[in-house]
Order: sequence, then structure tokens, then C-alpha cells
Amino acid sequence: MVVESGTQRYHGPMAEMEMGHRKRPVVKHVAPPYTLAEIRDLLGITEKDMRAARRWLQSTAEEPGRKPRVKTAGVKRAVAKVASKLSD
Amino acid sequence: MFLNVPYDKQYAPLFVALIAGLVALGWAPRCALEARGRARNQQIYSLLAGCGSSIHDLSRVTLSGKFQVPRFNMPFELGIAFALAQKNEHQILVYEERPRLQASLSDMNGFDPFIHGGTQEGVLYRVLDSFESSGRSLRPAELRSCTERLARVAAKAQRELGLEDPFNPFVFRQLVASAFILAQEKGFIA
Repeated sequence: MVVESGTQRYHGPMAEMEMGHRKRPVVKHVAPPYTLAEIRDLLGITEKDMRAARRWLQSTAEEPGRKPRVKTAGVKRAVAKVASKLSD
Repeated sequence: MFLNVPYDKQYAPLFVALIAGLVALGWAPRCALEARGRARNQQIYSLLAGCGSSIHDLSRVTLSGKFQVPRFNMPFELGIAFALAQKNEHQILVYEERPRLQASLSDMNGFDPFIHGGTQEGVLYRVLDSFESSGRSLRPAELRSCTERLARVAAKAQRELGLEDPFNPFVFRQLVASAFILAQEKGFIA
């Protein structure tokens, strides 16, 4: 995709640059169409690494629905005080 | 896609965002963490030569360490990529935290860097500016959710391995593998 951005990016040999031309179309690059297996080979990521990564991800998943602890002692004391006054 | 980025603790969240974003768009991130042993510069050259594109984040080209010397690794690797691009098809993308390239590396004048502002959000937007998905268009929120999940994996891996940052070959492989699994689960890649 070619986009007009008003900026200039260097891409390729110096001779191809248009110095000072601020309206040069900028190409947004798309990753080469690698498969996951190719990427793993490229980076030397083994099946053992993938298993370890899955474990990291599993152990860092957010705990669902855990509510923050709210201190209620002060409220309970106030309620008790009001209740005792009302009963007097 | 070769990632020429600073390996420091402050950059770690942006590194995670880059991996999550690029993998979601179908790219296979590679970096100098894969280079081991003595002939490190040779291996970096081979890695770069084997990639058709590279991202060079110059945001941490500052004085650092006990000697307070400039960090030359990122400009050095950008130089290698530039030389490669003279002979082969190699796409170079420069990322920066703020627009200061003309001051830090005026030889690259006429070359607009992608400014990310030093945030994960900024990095994800710049990744979406630079690349397009081969499948359906991805929304920033989708990349954000992958990044958040991957950040949790990075934090857990660091904790369990006693590391201060994710810049470790094993953790890098695990992050890339996790990002692929996430991207597949969400249907971003086949």
C-alpha cells in the first residue's frame, strides 16, 4: 500500500533518494509471507521453546473475577454505633 | 526484521512492545542477542545481511556507564545496515524518542525518524505507521493487549531467572515464541 504521509523514508540505495522532497509516497511494508514453521527455523525456536512459552503464557493469564479486598471494619463500627444509639 | 535497540533496563518495555507489534504484523524479529562468542560484529553483520529490513532506535545514544562514553553500538549497526542497503534491498527505519537526529547524526539528514516519545504506546503507533498487516488491519488496542500480556511473560521470566531485564538470548526467544502464540490465538497471523 502506498500512502502519502508528508514524510520521507529511506528505502534502498542513496541514489534513489529524493532529497528534500517531502511529499514522496511512503510504502508501508508488509512482512514476507513466512509460515510459522519457517519463522521458527529462522529464529531457532524449538518445540521445547514453544512448550515453555505456552507455560509462561498460561501462568501469566489474568485471574478471572478476583475482586479487590475492601476494608469494612470502620463501616461495621459506625453501623454498630448508630444501632446502639437507636436502641437507647 | 533486525532490531538495533539499546539493551538497558529503561528500554525493556519498549523492546517488549516492538516484539509484540512486529510479530502481530507477521515479522520475525531478530537482534544482536542471537550473536554469541568472540566474532560478535561478524555475527551481527550476518544477521543484518540476512534481514530485509531493520529498525534502528537511536533514542539512547547518550553518555552512559562509569566512563560516561557515547553509546556507539546503535549508530555502528545503522552504518552496517546503510552499507548493506547500497548493494541489496534493505529497508532502514530509524526510531527516536524525540526529533534530534539532525543534531546527533547529521549524515542522515533528509531521513525522517519515527518519533515514539519513549512510550510503549508510541512504539506501537510507529510500528503501525511503518508496516501493514498482510491480513486484516490491526487496531492499536489489539497490539496494546498483546504487549501487556507479553510484558507479564517478560516480568515472570525475569523473576524466575533472576534477571534485571529481558535482554537475554533465552528470554528473547521465549518472548518471540510467546508473541507468535498470542498472535495466532488472536488470529493476527495464520
